[in-house]
Amino acid sequence: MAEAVSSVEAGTETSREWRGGVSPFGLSWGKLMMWIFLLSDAFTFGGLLTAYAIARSSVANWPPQLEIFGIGLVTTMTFILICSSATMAVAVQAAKASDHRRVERFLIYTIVGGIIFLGFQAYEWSHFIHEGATLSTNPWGVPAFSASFFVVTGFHGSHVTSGVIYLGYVLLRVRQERMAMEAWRNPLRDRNGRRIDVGARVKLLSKPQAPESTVETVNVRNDQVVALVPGKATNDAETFPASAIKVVEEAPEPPMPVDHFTRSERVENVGLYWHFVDLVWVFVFTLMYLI
Amino acid sequence: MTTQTHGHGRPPGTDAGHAHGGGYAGYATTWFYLLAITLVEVAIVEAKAWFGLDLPAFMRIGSLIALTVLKAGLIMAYFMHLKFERRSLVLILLVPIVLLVLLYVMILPDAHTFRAVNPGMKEGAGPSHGTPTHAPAPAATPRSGH
Repeated sequence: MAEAVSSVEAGTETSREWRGGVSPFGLSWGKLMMWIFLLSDAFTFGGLLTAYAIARSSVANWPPQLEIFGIGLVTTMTFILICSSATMAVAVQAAKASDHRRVERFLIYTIVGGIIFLGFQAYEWSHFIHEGATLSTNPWGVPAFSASFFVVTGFHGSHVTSGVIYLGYVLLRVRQERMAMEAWRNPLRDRNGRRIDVGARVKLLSKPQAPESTVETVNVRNDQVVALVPGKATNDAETFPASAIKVVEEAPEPPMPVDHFTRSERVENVGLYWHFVDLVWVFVFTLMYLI
Repeated sequence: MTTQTHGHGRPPGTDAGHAHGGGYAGYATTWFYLLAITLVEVAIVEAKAWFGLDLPAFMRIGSLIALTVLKAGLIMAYFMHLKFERRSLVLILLVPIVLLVLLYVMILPDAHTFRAVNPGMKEGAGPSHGTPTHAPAPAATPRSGH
């Protein structure tokens, strides 16, 4: 009994059915919040598309949208967005498999797809505007036509834009964390194989007379060590290559860099958002262009 | 209250590599189907131009909506992992779809009323079924009386 309660409270039971307890969805807080946001966003788009459908039903001579926008352009945009959704899915899978370099690569592909999509949309909009369409009027005589087009695709486009920014942020964080982890796994070492960490007491081989100094910062990528050199002006730090350092006393090993928001989780959440943007486009493509 | 006996249990959705239809390959399959369905949609719209097939409107619109729902289902089930999440989450997400269909059905009669009492909208204010290359005749008439 006690065991059952504890697994329910911890929200760790693996069943697909909810058996009571505090975690009906079996999701972490971050993912649950993303789903709640997407749900509210789905209502926003649902409302906009319903308004569009109503506007369209109230007009007999709705302009031929497909001729105006061109099916080739719109289909290309759809293909690009579906492809970027697929690369996003690969990034998520790679994040779960802790394949961080693949995560970074596929996040970049996804961002590029989003930017190309936005470029096409900018082209489409500027064409439409040049033909005389505004938010309230257009040459085709049905004001609701351009109004609904601008509002719906504009709303979707702003979601793509936010998505590109969000993806860029996640890419930076994933990269930072990978580099921190690599630096932790492969610290700089002196000739005797002793770790050079911040706070280590070192002798400077290039300055035999100088007394022991303390390592101030370490740059693993460039093999550079900034050490405080005593005897000169206070807080006078100089940069040395790792080869010019002999560790006298190692600093305590730094703890493993862990983020409170695990990497996989962060990528999964941006993935949900990006797939949602693709999902909305699936409906926009059919309702605003094809039908 | 130890978690040792059942501590390995993770929520279904976070279980990496577990029954995901083969990881990367599964995503490739979904991706392929999404592109293929998009092509079918375009073919339905261009049926007359490509195959000389004049589909009746209800068939065209009905099949387009069915294919769109199918695409949306593929994205949600595989890309958004809903197939591997707990069922209560799936049910919560289905609610808005039902509500939106209801919303549309409830407002639709109003749209037809609007159309009936505004015969002016049928003529249109600009060139009806105009081609975009025509000189823009600015639609100076907003929705009259509304």
